[in-house]
Amino acid sequence: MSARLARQKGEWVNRASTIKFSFEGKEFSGFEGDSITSALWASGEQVLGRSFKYHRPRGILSLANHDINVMVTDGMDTNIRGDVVPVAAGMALAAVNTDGGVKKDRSRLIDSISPLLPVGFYYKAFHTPKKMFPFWENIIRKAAGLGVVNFNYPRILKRKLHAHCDVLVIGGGATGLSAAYEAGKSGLRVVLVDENAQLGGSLGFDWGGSQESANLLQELLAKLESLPNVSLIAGAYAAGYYPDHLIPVVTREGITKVRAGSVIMASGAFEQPPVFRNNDIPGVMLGSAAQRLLHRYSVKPFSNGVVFTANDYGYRVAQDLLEAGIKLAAVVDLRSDAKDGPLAAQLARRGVKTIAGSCIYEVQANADKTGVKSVTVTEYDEKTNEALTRDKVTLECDGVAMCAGWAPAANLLYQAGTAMRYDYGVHQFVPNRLPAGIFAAGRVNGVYELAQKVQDGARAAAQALLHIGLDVPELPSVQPSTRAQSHAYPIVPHPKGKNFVDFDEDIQVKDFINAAKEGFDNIELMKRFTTVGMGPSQGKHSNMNAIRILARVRGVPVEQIGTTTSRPFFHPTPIGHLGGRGFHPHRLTPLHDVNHKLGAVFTDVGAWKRAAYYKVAGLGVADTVLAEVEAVRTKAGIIDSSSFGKIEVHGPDAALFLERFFTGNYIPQAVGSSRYTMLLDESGVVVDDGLAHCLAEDLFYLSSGTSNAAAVYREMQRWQQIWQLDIGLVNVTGAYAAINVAGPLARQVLSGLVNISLDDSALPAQSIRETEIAGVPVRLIRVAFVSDSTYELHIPTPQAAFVWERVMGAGQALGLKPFGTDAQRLLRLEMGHAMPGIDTDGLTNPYEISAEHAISLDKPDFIGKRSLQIIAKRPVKKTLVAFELDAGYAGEMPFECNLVIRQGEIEGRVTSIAYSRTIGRVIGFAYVAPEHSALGSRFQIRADSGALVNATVVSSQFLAMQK
Amino acid sequence: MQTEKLITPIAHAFPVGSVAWGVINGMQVVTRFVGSDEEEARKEFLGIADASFLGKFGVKGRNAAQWLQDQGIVVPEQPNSWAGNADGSLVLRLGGSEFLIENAPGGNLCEKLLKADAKPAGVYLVPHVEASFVLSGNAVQELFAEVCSIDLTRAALGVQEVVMTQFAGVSVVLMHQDLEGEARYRVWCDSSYGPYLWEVMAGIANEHSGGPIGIGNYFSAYK
Repeated sequence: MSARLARQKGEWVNRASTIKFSFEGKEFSGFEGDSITSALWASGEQVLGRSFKYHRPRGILSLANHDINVMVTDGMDTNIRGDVVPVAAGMALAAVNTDGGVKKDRSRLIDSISPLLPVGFYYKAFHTPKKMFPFWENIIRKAAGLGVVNFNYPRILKRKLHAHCDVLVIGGGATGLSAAYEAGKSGLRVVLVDENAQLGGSLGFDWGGSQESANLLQELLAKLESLPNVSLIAGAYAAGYYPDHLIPVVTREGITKVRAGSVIMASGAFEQPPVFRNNDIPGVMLGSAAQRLLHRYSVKPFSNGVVFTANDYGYRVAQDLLEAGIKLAAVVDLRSDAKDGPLAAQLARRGVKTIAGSCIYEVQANADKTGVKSVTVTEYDEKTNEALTRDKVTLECDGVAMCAGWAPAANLLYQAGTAMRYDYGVHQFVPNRLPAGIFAAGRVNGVYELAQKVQDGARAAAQALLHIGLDVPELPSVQPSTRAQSHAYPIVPHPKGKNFVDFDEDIQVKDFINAAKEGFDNIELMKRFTTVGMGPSQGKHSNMNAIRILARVRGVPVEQIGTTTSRPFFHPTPIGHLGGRGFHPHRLTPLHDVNHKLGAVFTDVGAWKRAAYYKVAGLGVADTVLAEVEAVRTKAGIIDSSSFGKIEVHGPDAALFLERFFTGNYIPQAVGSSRYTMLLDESGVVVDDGLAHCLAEDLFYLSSGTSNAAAVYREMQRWQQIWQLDIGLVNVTGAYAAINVAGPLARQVLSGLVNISLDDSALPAQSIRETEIAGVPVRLIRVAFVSDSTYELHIPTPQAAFVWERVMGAGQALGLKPFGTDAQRLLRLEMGHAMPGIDTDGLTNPYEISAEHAISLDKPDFIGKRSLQIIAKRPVKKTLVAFELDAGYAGEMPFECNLVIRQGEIEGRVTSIAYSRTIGRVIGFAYVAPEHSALGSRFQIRADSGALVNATVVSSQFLAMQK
Repeated sequence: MQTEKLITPIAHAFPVGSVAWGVINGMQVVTRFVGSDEEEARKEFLGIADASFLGKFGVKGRNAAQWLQDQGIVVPEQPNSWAGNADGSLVLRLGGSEFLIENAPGGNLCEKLLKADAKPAGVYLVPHVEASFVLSGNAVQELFAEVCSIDLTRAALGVQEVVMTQFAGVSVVLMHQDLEGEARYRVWCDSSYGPYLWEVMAGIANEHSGGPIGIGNYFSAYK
C-alpha cells in the first residue's frame, strides 16, 4: 500500500517522472527527487538495513544524512546513504552489512547473544590470552566494516577547485538565508552552501501546522534572487575548517576549497533522540525525520503514531502529522509540567491527549519485527530519571516520532577554535568566544524562535561585514532561547537494555555505565572504549546523550565532561574526492625526447625524469648498466645531466659570497678554474656539494647535484638577505642544459666540435672555458666525477637537442654510447666519490666522511663554522669507509641500508654498494666505528635474509688501486 | 645565435602527426592543432596556445630599472606589475629589481637589449627560456580555479598586475592583457615544466570544449 500523500506545495518530488528501481531483488518505483529511503518508505518498505553490531532491522532515523543503518550498494558503489541519495532509474540496490539479505540476514542471531558481547569485548578478546589474537582477529575482521570495497571501481574525475568570497554562509535555513541576504546587500561576493538538495533548512519541513515557515522561505529566496552577487549552492556541505577561513565544500562533483573573508556558521542543530528500549525498531524515528518525510517527499511516516517528546518541538511535529491526516494515539511528554501548557491544549482541541510526566518505556515490535506494534507508556520521575513501572499503559500504534532536543552542528566551530559553554537556559552548548572573522547564528547559537533566527542571521551578517572592513551599523545581539529546547536527561533506563544511544555502533545505556565502572570515565576514553561517535555518523545523534549519561554517572555538570574532538571531514568523503585530478608536477630535460628515441628507461630524480639506462635488446638491466659503464671506461659515454643545479653569482662580492656560503676558499680563484664546494647547515651537517667555476672576477657559475638545486638557491637567497652583499643571484638551472662526455676517447669526440684546445695543458682538470659548438654558445667544463676524462657541456636549453645530435654524430665512429643514472652511480663509486644525500644523512658532519680537505677553518666565517669547531673537539662517532667484498663472492647481494654488524650489535650501515665489472668486486661505502676504519679492517654486513657477509675496508681510490 | 636550432620546450607534449609544425622566430612550433573553424570554437571556450617562441630578455640588480630606462624601455613603477612598450613588447617587473621583457609578435627588442652596451654595475643578465602560454575563453576562470589556489578573477587581478603563483604545483608568472579586442592571460613557467603544464591545462581546456590552438588565433602577425 502506498504511503504517498496527495501533492502538496513545496514537495521535492516530481510526480511527472516515475523512477523504477529494485531493492534486495524486488522491483519498486518512486518519483524523481525521492531519496532511496523515501521511495522505499512510500512503497511500504520499512526494513531498509541492518545495524552494525547486532544486525537488528533498521529503518529511518534522521533522514538527514545520518542514517548509517540504511546504507546500500548498487553493485559498483557502496555505503550509499539511502536517506539522502536520490533514487535513480535502473538502480539495483541491496543493503550492505547483511548475510543473506536484509530480511533474512543470518547474522541477526547475534542480537540474541548480545549479552555475550559486552562493551569493549573485542579489546578484551585481543588482550588475553595472546595466542588467541589471530583467532579473534579473523572473526572480527570478517564481522567489521559495512560495505565491501569494489577494487574495480572506475576512476571518475572529481575536480578540486578553489573559490574565493567575502562572506561564506554555512547553512541555508532561515538564519543562513537571512544572513546571506543581509551580507549580499553590500554588493560583496557572498556564497551560501547547504548540504541538502534544496535550500530552506527547517523552513522546508518544520511547519508546526502552519504555513508561516513555507511562506518565509519563498520570501527569502525571492529576495536573494535579486542579488546576483550571492551564490546559493545546495547539495554542498562545508566539510571542515582550516586556518585563514579555508573551508572545503564537498558536492557530488568534487571539492571546492573556499577561502572567505569571514564565515557565518548558520549550520543549525542535529535532533537528538530520547533513549528508551527498542527505540531503533523501524517506524521509530526522529520528529524532524517524520517532518522531512511528510513535507519533502509527501510520504506518511506511519498511519497511527505516538509522539514521544521532551521539548516543545514534539508538539510542532504532532501538528504536522495531524495536518497530514495521520492519527495520533497520544503525545507522551517526559516533562511533568507539560500537561497544562498551551501546546497540550491545542492538541486536545484536535482530539489528541497529552500524557505528561511520562515516557515510552519500551516499544513492541510486530510479529516479523519489521515495524512497531505498540508502545508501553509509564510515568517518569524526572528527579531520579527512572520509569515508574507500576502503572503501564499500552498504546497500539505503527510508529513513533521522538523529540528530545538538539545538539549544535558546531563541528566547524570547534575546528576553528571556538570556546563553547553549556547554556542552562536552552540546555545546549553555545559559542562563548569565537575566533576572529567567524560568526555563529541561529540554532547553533542557541536561537530557536523563527523571527529571532532571521534577526540573528542579519546580526551575524553585519558583524561579518564589519570584520572585512565595511562601515555598516552593528545590529543588536540575539540571546539564546531561555526556554529549554533540549531535555537535560532524556534517558529511560530499562533492565533488558536495547535502549540505544548510538545507532551506528549499537551502544546501549548500560554500555556507558559499565565503561565508567571499568574506569573509562573520561569522555575521550569512553569514546574509544565504547566506540560511541566513532561510526559513520560520527556521533551526530549520540555524542550529546553520551555526554549527559557520563555527567550523570560521574555526578558532575555537563560542561565538566566537555566534548570530544571534532576533526575534518564533517561527513565521510570519498577518496576520489580527496584525490581530485591528481597533479604530479615533473620536469623533463630538453633532451627527454632524444633520450626516449634512444631507448631510455626513465627514473625519478627529485622532480626530474632522468634516463636510468638505455634498453638493449637481449640484455638484462644489470648487464645493460655494466655495458654502459664499460663504454665509459674503455671508449666514451654521453649522459644528459641537464637536471644538475646551475646558479650564477654575479657582482663584485661574488667570491666573498662563496667564501661565506661554502666551506672552501674562493678568494682568490683564478678565472677559468673550478673548485669543489661543500655546503653545511648551521649545525655543521653536510647539505650539498658541487663545483664553483670562475668565469670572471665578478661571475661564478655554480653546478651541483639534481635533488638539492632548488633548496640551495633558496638558502643562497636567504643568506643574501642577511649579508646584503653586492651580488646578484640567478638560478639558471632551467636555462642551461648539460651534457657530459666521459671516457678515454671523450676528448677525441669533442675535439673536432669546439674551437679550443682540449689538451690537458690548455684545459686541465677542474677548469672551464667558454666556446661554441656549431655556433651554439657552450660552457665547457673539465670535471672528474665519473671518469678522469670528462667534459661537461652547458648549453642554452632550447639548443640542447641540436648539440646532443652533433656530439653523438662526432662520437659514432668512436663507440660513443649514452649512459644513464644507474651507470653514473656505479661510475662515481668506482671513482671513489661519496655523494651527499646518498652517502650522508641529515646528521652527517664533514669529519665523518673524511672531508677535512674541503674545510677552511681559518676563514673568518662560513655557514656551520661555529658548530664545526665544537664538533671538531668531540670524538667522531662513525666513519664512512670504502669497502669491497671478498674476491669471487657469489652469495646474497647486500643492499644499501643493510646494517653493519659487529658481535651482534649494529655498528653502521651500507650507503652505496654495487658490483663493478671494472674492479671485479662488489664495492661500496659504509659507516663503521672509527676504530674499525683502518684499511684492511674487516666487518660484516647483514643482508636482507639475515646472512652475514664479510667485507674489508679498502682505499676509496678503487680504480687507482686496480691499476 | 643560430635560432633555427631551437625547438619549443613544450614539444614533448604535442601529439605526433596530427598537427602542423612550422618555424616562428627560428623556433620549431606547432602552428595548427585542428581545423581553423574548430580552433576558433576552442578559443571561445578555452583556448591555449604556445608562445614560447617570443624572444625574452631579463635583467636584475639594483641598477636594472635605471638601465632599462636608459635603453628607452617603459619600466613599471610598482613591483609585480607590467607595462607595454609602444612596439607591443611587454615589460614585467618581477619583484623590486628584476625584469622580464618579451618581444612583441614580430618584434626584436630583446635581441637589441642583449646586444646593448656592457651592463653597468648592479645590472645582471638573466637568461629566459621559459615555456610561455596564451589563454583565453569563457571557461578560463574555471581552469584557474582548478590549478591555482589564489583569486585570479578579473576583479581580484587588477589591471596591470603580475602574479607569481603556482599552477598545478608549478611556479608560474601570470598577467592579464586586453589585446586585439580580447581578454587574454599570459603564463610563463620554467621550460622543464612546460610539457607537464601544457598537458594539465590543455586537458582541462578539452573538458570545457576548448583545447590547444595555433598562436595565429591570438597574434594576427602569425596567421
